[in-house]
Amino acid sequence: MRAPISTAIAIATGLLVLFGAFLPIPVLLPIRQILLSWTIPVAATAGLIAILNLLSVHWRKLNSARERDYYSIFLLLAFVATFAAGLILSPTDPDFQKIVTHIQFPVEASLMGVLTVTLTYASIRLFQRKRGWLAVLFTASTILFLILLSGVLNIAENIPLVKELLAALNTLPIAGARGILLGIALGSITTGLRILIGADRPYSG
Amino acid sequence: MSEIICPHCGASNPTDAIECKKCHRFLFESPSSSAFPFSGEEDDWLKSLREDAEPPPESEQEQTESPETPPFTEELPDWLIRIRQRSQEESGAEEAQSEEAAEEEELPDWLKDVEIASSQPESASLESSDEEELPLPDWLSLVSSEEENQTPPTSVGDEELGIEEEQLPDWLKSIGQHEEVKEEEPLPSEETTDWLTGLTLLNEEEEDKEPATFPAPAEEVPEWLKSFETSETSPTTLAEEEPSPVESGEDWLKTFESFDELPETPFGVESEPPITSPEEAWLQTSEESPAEFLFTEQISSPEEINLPPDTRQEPFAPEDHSTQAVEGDWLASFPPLEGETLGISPEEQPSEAAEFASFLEEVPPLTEGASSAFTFETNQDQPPAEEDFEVSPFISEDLPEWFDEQVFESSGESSLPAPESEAGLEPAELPGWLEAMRPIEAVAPGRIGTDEDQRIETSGPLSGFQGVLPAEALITQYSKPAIYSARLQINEKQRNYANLLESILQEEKQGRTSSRAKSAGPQILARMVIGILLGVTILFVLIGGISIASPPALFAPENVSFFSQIQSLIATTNQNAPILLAVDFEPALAGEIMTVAQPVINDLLQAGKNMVVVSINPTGAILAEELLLNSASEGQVRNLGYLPGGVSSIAAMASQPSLAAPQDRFGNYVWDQDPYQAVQNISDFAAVVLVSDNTDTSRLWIEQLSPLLDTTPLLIIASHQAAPMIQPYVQNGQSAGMLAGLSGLAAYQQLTGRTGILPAGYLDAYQAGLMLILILILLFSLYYLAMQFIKKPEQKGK
Repeated sequence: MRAPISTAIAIATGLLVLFGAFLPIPVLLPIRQILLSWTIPVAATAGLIAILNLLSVHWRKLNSARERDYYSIFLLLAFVATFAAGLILSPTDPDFQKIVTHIQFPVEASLMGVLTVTLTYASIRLFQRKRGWLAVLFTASTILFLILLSGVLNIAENIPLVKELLAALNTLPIAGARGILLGIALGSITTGLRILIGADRPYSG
Repeated sequence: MSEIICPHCGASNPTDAIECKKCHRFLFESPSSSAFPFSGEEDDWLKSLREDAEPPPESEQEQTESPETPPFTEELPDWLIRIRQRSQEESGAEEAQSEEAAEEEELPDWLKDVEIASSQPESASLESSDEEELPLPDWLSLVSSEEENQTPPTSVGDEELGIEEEQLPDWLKSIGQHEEVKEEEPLPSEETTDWLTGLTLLNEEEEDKEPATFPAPAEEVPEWLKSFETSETSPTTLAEEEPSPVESGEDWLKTFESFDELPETPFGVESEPPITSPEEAWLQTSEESPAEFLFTEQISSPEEINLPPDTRQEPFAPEDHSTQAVEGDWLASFPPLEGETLGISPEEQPSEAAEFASFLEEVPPLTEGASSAFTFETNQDQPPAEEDFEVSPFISEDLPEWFDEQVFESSGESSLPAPESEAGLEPAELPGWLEAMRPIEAVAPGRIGTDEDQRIETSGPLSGFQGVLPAEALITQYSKPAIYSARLQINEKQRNYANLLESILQEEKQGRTSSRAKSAGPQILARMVIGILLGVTILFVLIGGISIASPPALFAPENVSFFSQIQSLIATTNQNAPILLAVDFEPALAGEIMTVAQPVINDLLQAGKNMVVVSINPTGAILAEELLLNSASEGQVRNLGYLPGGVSSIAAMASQPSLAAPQDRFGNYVWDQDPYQAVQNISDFAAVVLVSDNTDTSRLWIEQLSPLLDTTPLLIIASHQAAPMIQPYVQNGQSAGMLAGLSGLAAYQQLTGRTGILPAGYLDAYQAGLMLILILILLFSLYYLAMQFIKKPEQKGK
């Protein structure tokens, strides 16, 4: 058995948290809280490591001899500037917050606009690339829900037949979402049980 | 044996010597009068032998019952009596042939022995008129000599017997020596074996019952038989006077037993008694005899020799010949053979080899049934017979060819050349039992393997093993392969054809330029056109003030419930319970989320509700600040900032908010101030408002908070793309209400009955943009479908 100690710790921790969530045992509650409090700084450290990894990746791409990516220098410079501004101004300074509100916010909003155009163009050329029932179905569903969510049919909602029809059509995405959520729930339970019984050990490296 | 060992000094003497060359003492001072030194009780096996012995014919019995039989014969065993009777009969036949004695020197040795044994009786009544004329074989002379071995009395010298010392055979001389040794080495009677004693007692009993067993008159008894009888008159005296050592006596008796058993077992020379004394030197003749060569494999250890006769006869029990029948056969064959032998004139006698061959041909039963018994008397002066015995077992048609070619050829090289007389001999057939006893080497097809297999490994882990594969030798046999040129021998025309084919293949490898690369420009242009169209349309609607959208006439249940919860919060008088605002959206969707959430937050803040802002997104806290910047009063909102750890921080916040986020963004402890100090659990908040554009984070918040909220409502403000995934939780009751997108905001505006919540032209631009996208998709989809139907007939036409 590989990494028996870490496996035992993981199983014991999972069982304690699980029993603390389901069983009203006073002793388990502080233990659960302590374990969760330990998790938060560990996750924060993981976030810091992820930032360092991002910097190293872009540094390698910038210094790569074969395919040098000059856009990486913008990321590195932005990181250095933001980090320096945060150290100097502190995160709570209103000027520092403008980095988000005046740079990040419009940039990401613009990307969403570009995404809208790209998705529109992809939908237009769908029949050019894909011919079949799947393309027809996708195109029909796209058109239908665009019409429903746009509010164009708000006027006709008072019509009895249209009202029932729109109510029925609105349940379709909810039904799909429920199926996805059920799949996610089952997957989460399976993953949790595999970790509790030691069959899956992602922590062992 | 061609020599006689002197019993006095141990010197070697020739066979015809009477006295020792060295000590000049008579070699036969004490003739074997103790041939039967029986003493003690007889054993069962001897009894059985007697019982099994064939009773003599009635005529012979009548003779044996004559009152003139010497008294000493009563002590003799039955078989000896029968032998004597036959000897007497034979002596009569010899007397009729006495004129042939002058030519005795021309006879073969074995015939001399026979004549010596049979010429001694002065008078004998023999009935040999009907017997066949056959030469006397060696084994027959052995029988005769055995009789003489028993007859010489101690008081009768060789002169009385009328036998010259030169005419004595070797075995007889050796017996004489043996008896001398017995006389010189007395053995106490108590040391004799039991069976010997029993035999003596049996003789005594027979003496009592049959006082006269020899019916022959005294004048008819030959001299040599008289002397023998004289020596047998007092067996007890012999046993006392001439006691022999136990071992020597036993050995002697064993040899005697072998004589008795031999006729019963046609090939019965299983064992050979070890020569323990010079007196038994005559037995060595049997070892050297060629006949014994056939049966040497049957000879076992000396211990087997000492076994009782019954035990030794067991292996031959399955034989067809019973003991009585066999004994009777060979005994009955004695007189005619000897008589006929004597009847042959010297002129008619062929050479020795031819004579022996003819004898074998004429007497097949004897040679087959009693060959083993006669090996003792095989004369060394008869090489043809020796060769016959040596060769005959392996000359058989049943033998495989390889045996004849390989094995037998090799043996034939070493063997002596066959005499001319051998050609007339019929090759002996290998008996079944002897064939079964052949060694496996005689049947196996020679040695398997080559000389290399016999090589012994000298190095490596297999050092010392034999027959190891010669790896080194094989390696040395390999050499570097020869290099052959790969260049084709072609002419100029063939070379041109090859170049042409190569050029054609090169064109195929290059391929054709993709038409997609040519369409990259129009694609970019199309994207730009689409973007421009959308932008122009939205701007046209916003700036132009075109109202194309209509407010919703019907409201979704989640929108209604959301509005109800907000209204209840605003209407509640409990101002101490703060509202937890979870801000979890990205700046990319901040335009939609903030547009939808701003009116709701403003209503709450305007109602005087205190809020605690928390986010699991690094930009969420800043976006929350931007969201509440203009609406919140001083100290009404406490921004706890970013909670690292994802779902773990959400769970910690759900269980104990004060421990999960104790301080705000400025480092001030929040939970000791009013109204936040009343919050110990998540259910102590007045409401939890989740602002999210992400389905995953929305799901985590709902799943972690809803079990612990108790009666605290969970309200969700979401984007339009996340609404379908959150709506199931709302319908299940895990969320009190949801407000999603601009349509939700429109519903909220309609429910509140206020205007201005949704900016003017915002919903129109939104609907105009969606309708443009819808039109583009429909148009181009129809276009491509039409093109597809148009191209298919053209392709079919081609």
